[in-house]
Parts: sequence; structure tokens; C-alpha cells
Amino acid sequence: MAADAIRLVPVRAPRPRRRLRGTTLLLGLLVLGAIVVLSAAAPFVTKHDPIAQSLGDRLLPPVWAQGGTTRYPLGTDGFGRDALSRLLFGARISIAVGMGAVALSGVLGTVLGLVAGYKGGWLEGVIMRLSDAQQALPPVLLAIIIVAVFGANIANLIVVLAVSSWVIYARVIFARTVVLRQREFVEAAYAIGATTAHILFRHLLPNLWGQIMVISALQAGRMMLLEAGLSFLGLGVPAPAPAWGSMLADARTFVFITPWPAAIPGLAIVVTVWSVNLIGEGLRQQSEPRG
Amino acid sequence: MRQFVARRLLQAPLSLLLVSVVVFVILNVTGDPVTVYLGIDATPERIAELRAQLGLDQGLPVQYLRFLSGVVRGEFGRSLRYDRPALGVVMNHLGPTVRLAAVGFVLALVIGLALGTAAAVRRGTWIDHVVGGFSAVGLSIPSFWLGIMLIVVFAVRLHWLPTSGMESARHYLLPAVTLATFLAPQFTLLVRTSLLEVIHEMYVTTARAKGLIEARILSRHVFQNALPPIIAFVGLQLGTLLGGAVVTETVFAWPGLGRLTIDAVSQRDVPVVEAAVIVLALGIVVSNFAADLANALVDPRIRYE
Repeated sequence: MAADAIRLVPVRAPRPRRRLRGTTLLLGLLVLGAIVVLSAAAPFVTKHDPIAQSLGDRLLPPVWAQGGTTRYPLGTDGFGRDALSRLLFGARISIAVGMGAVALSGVLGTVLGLVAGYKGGWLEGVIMRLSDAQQALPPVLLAIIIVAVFGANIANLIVVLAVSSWVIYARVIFARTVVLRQREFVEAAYAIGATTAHILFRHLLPNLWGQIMVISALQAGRMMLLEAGLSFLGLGVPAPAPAWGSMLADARTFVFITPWPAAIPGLAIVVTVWSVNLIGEGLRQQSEPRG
Repeated sequence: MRQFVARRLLQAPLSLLLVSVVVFVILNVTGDPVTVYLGIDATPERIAELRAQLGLDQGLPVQYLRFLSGVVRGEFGRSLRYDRPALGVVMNHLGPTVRLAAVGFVLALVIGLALGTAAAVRRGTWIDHVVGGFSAVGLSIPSFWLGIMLIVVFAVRLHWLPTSGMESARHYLLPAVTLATFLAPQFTLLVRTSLLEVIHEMYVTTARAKGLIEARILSRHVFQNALPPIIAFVGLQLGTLLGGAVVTETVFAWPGLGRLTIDAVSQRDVPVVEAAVIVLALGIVVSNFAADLANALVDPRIRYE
């Protein structure tokens, strides 16, 4: 009805964005794909060891700047380590932590949201109040405290980020489950004696995949930014591992001499997170009703 | 309305109670702050003394109840580092953070409202695409990196602005822009979506049909109805804002709560960490409550939910 009404208004009727729908997703997948392939093939792309120091070659600029050499295409850091190989190996950390955290928080949040939405009652009360409490704690702060107490390694980082970000899944899945619960196919499954677990995972979950995918793609970027932030604060994967955030933190001391060691890992973060966000936005557009 | 307020008022302290449990468990059960704080060469007497001072020689439930009753009275114990009441230390650092967050927040809100409205009104045109593109990139920029790059360009290269300090308005510019860059894209996208949801409603078409000018339609019919999700989101973003402030403060050596908390965490100054977290959580809970309340006032439907 609303759509019909709009067509009666000739002024500025919304044009269908069909042509752009696919391109966002495709661009994101291409850029992220390139980053994944490059980081997976890192040992073949660069001959330098990402943690090998060469004190004679400290703070070299990238090849296009004055004084750059082709031996170090993106220059070197304050210890004379090759920026390109640190960048490529660092991508592995960023991607592993990002994907791991999204997977874990997705499972956690989805299960809690499903249970709260389907069972209701005191379980709903407990889970939803927990998520309220979670929202009263800034994720960065919670992550800082947990990492400081338990120590930092890739597994801990994944757990920390997952614990600080399951709420968004739980909230959305809860809201959808409450609606789905009343549909006939759920009642039918219940009537023929299906167990709760069967209804949750075989009947409700398949109807929620679209939402879960969209949130996951949008969350992946946030997770990578959080990981970079923790590394920057010295709470990420410990040195000398080449995490992008800690590359930036190291380079901070030298920004008065040369901006490159700080600029390059930051750009890598921007491009990677941007490509992941494009995928999320692309998925969201696909799942939006057409018209 | 009264019932709505009462229900929200009951839920708020519950959140704070849970936060206090979580913080207490993480900080007190998982490690002994005394050994970390005093280091390995501390004498047993000194350790015992500090343990008694912090109440660590008692059972955990007793410790928690003591902690909780302290929280209620605003007593978190003495800061190990400053040797002053922890709450006082936190309050001293709260001002700079609130001022920075407020400036960044208002900046982000103005940008978000302007760009989001422009994109929604000109949906599908190049304006919409440019705004969308900028938001996508803005969402991907780590604030600590942006801060450093702003310092490189405007302080190191151009000498226009100071790198740190907070004496004058010029000192606020770079940190506030850094903070706003991180929030503005989120506001922009939300404003755009909320407006688009309303812009196709029948009453907007009706308003147009009866010949109202576009500006009036936008302000009276569209904005007022698009407001609830925006208000709710603004309330919820306070946590993210404070989180962003933590990182931004580190880059600009801003003497605020974020910097204090990070230092206190790494030095295991438990009373300060606890006080900081509870104060921040209280701020977030209150702002969420205020957002709910504002929404209920703007939109009568919410009151009867």
C-alpha cells in the first residue's frame, strides 16, 4: 500500500538501486580475498623474516618516497624490520582474531538469544538482564581488564572479544525468536513431540541465518578494530609478533622523524576493516526487501 | 507512564549489581593484586599488612559484601598508587573525559544529522552514494591511528595545533575530531535509515498532497517520527563513546578517566579500577534510562509496551 502511494508522487521517487546491490558485496569480497591470499602466501611474497632485525636499515621509507629501496618495498621500522612482511604476517593475526571472535560470540549470542526467546520465563529474565549489565560496561574496558588479568595470546583475545560482544546477537535473535515462536511450523513441531533442542536448531535457527550472517559481517570489522586497539595499548598478542596495532604503537615514537612506519599499518587496518564492512553492507542490502 | 518508569527504575540497579559482581570476580578471584603490586621482593609482613588493609584475608563472599557495601556508600578503599580515596582519584579524572566526550559527541551528532538527512532526502543520488562511501571508510578508521596521523599533519608538519594538553579550545580540536570520526558514521547511517523508514509513510504522502512545503514536512512529520530510534541509539552509544575516549586519551596524553583506568589496570591498582568501572557503568545506565524516558515522552506508543 505504501509502495503504491509513492509511485503516485512523481517528484523524487526512489530509484531502484539494483545495479549497486551486487557491487558492494563483490568489491568487499575481492579486496578481502586479496588480503587473505597475500597473507597466506606471505613467505613467497617477501623473503624477509617479519621479526628479524637489521639495525643498519632502521626507519627506511617506502620505495616511492625519497631514500626508499626496492629491498624493503614498504620500508622498515625502528628495529630495521621489514614493514611489508610484518604487515602480511600481521594480517594473519588480525584475520584469525577477528574471525575467531565473531564465530565464538555468534555461537554464544545466538544460543542465548534462541533460548531466551523460545523458553521465556526466568531464563529470559536472566539472559536479558545479563545483556543489560554487559551494555553498562564499555567493551574496550572489559577487554582491557580481562586481558590484563589473564594475559594476552590469540586464544585469550578471541575469548575476550567474544565475551564483550555477544549481546548484539542475543538481542536480535531474541527479538526474532519471540516472533517466530508463534508461527505454525513451530507449533506443529511441538505438537508432534519434537524436543526443545530440535525446535531451536532445526526449525528456528535456519530461519535466522540471514540475520546472523549480516550481524557477523558487521561485527567482524569491529572485532578487528578492537583487536588493533588492544594491541596498540600493549594488550594484544605479545611482541615481537607483528600485530598491526603494536606496529603502530612502536611507530608512535618515531612520528616526529618519519610518518611511514605509523601510516602503513594504519592504512592496512583501514583497508581490511573497510572490505569486511563492505561485505556486511552488501549482505544487508541483499537481505533487504527489494523495491 | 508511571509503570514504565517504575520498571526501568528497578532494572537499572540490577545491571549495576551484575557489573559489580563481574568486576569483583575478575579482579579478585583470578589473581592476587598484592603480589603483583608489591613485586617479588616484598616481605611477608608487608604482604600480610596490605592483604589485611584490602580485606583479602577474609572469605570471598565476605569480601564481596564488604566491597558492595563500600560501593553503595561510595567507598572503594584507598588507591594503592596515589594513597588517596579511589573514588576521589576517579572523580578528579572524570571532568576532562566528560568534556572531551561531550565535544566529540556533539560534533558527531551535528555531522551525523546533516549527512544522514542529506543522504535520506536525496536517496539514490550521488549525494547518497558519497555519504555512504564516507561513512563506510569512517567506520573502518581506528581512532588511535587517526589521532596519530592528525598529530603528524597538524602538529608536527604544519605546527597549527598542539599535540597534547587541554588548556585552550585549540587543544580540544584534534582529540574531539578523532572521537567524532569514530561516531559520526554510525550516526549518519542511523539517521538515514530512520528517516527512510518514515519518509514512505502515508502521513508523509498526505502532508505532501495537502501542499506543505518540503522543509515543514521534514521537520514536523518526518523528524519527529524518526526520533525514537535515534534517541535510543544515542543513549546506547555512550558506552562506545567512553570506550573510544579511552583510546583517544592515550594518543593525546589526555589526563582523563580512560588513561587513568588503563594505568590502574596495568599497575593492579584494584580500588581505582573498581571505582572507575562502577562510575562509568553508572553513567551509562543513567544515560540509557534518560534515553528510554525521552523516548517514552516523544512516542506515546512506547509507554504502553
